Amino acid sequence: MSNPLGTTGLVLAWCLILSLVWAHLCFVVVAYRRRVFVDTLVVTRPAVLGSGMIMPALVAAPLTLLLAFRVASINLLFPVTLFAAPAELLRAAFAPALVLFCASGLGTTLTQQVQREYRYWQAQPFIRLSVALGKSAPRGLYKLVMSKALGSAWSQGLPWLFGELVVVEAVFNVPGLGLEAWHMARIQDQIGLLQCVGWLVMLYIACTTLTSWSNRRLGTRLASYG
Amino acid sequence: MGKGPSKNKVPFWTPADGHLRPLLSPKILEMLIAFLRFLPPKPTTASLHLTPRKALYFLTAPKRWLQRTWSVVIVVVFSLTLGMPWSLWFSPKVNLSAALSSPAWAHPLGTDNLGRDLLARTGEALLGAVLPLWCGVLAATLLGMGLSLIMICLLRRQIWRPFVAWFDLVAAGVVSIPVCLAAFAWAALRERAGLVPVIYTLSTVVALRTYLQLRDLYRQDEQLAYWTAHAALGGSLLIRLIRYGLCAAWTQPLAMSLGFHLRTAVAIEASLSYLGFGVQEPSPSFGNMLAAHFDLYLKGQWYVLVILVLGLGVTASLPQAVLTLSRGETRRPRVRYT
Repeated sequence: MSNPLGTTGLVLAWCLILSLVWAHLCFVVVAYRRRVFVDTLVVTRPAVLGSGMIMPALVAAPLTLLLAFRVASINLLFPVTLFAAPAELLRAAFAPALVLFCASGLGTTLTQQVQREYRYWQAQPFIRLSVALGKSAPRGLYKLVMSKALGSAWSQGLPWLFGELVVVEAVFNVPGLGLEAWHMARIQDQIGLLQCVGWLVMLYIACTTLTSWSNRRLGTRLASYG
Repeated sequence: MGKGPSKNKVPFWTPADGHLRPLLSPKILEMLIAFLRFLPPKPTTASLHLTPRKALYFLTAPKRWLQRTWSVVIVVVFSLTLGMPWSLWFSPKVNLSAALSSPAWAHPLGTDNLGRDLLARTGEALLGAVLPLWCGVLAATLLGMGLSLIMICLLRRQIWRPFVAWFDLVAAGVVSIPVCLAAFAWAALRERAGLVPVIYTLSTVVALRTYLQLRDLYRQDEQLAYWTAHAALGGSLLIRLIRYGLCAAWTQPLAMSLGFHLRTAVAIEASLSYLGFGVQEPSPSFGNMLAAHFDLYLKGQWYVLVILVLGLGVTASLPQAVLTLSRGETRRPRVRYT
């Protein structure tokens, strides 16, 4: 794949899918497990500023590569060939996205946010009313909690996601914007470097704008609940 | 004299009055009751008053024990690596005949691709790269605290308010830029790789983050009753900020954010050194050592990679471990039996 923007987009898309799956799992655990276990999860998890890097990508990425290679004989390096099939590229982008998801702290932030939002909205009058009318509280809260948790977790984790992107792409040899910027910086091609960093910054601004817009939209909707 | 029953001796059972007399004297009974009070009553499931909070404490006890033990291990390993003069005992100089040696008594962690002892190199990396970085972060935190105190005091004057608002806007903008990207771009554009640009970038961001955090904390606390009471009694704002804020309520959040910044600093420095924009060879750093040995794991020399990655992990976890140890164990809730 010769399109760095597309490759980076592929990795970020995998991150988004992983976030959705993880948030769903967290919601199921929080909503359907017994209360004491939920409390255990909430209290014992270290609340380090609520977000941010949990494990440096420089630790997580080499270990993942090494373990996959030594234990399962799987080479997780990105296939840099002229005629790589899209399915192969899609599969190869999963491992960097998984490492990025863990290294940027998105997983931990999502877990905390889902728990916090569920506990907050569960105590609101409109949900109590729907429970009193015989409706299911988790079903009523699913969309609300998921969208709120995903919005806050992404807005908190975005700087770390983009910060660790260069390292993850360099370790996994993913030909994305981060790796391109690194190569440009090493050969001291200032114009190329500015282009790559500019694309990265634009992508970051687009993600931030989208997240803040969805948060604001959600905020006005939630205000109507009273 | 006939041998009849003595009148002084009171029998246990006197059928005359039909009452049971006590077997033990009142004094002995009192002593026995006092002794029994010290013994805990036999707990039963029905009588155990176990609230969710207490249940939670007991459920999480093994996890807390593990956390504390792990923290002690991290602190001990870090102190040993940093504090011992390893370079005197094991040579960090190039010795190609001993390249890529496995761990042995001569080289406890083995050697790198140029035959340099990895333990000595790791100690040098901690001393030469990590400690200056942490000093920079600490200085930046203090700077941010001082800056926030000044700005909060300036906020009381009407004339300074636009300036403070403008400064807040700039600080929020700078902080929202990814630190790693900013440091990378700075080092790449200035073409000056090394530890100094990394420290400058990190210090700027850490100082501004601390400033914004203290401003937020002040905004939350300024309306508290004891703050307003102190102000009503004519107390100084600076004294309130120091006594009620920095020395009391804000200590824990500040310590947590400091730990987070120290951890982040290690990760960012290692990342930049790995990419070739941080500490340069022959000065050791976790990042450049990892970069030099990264392809060796495919050839079977995976232990160098594992040792370096573990070293980096321990160093990055140290601030959190110290925080865990300094926080102490959560107070054990008393289980009440009813």
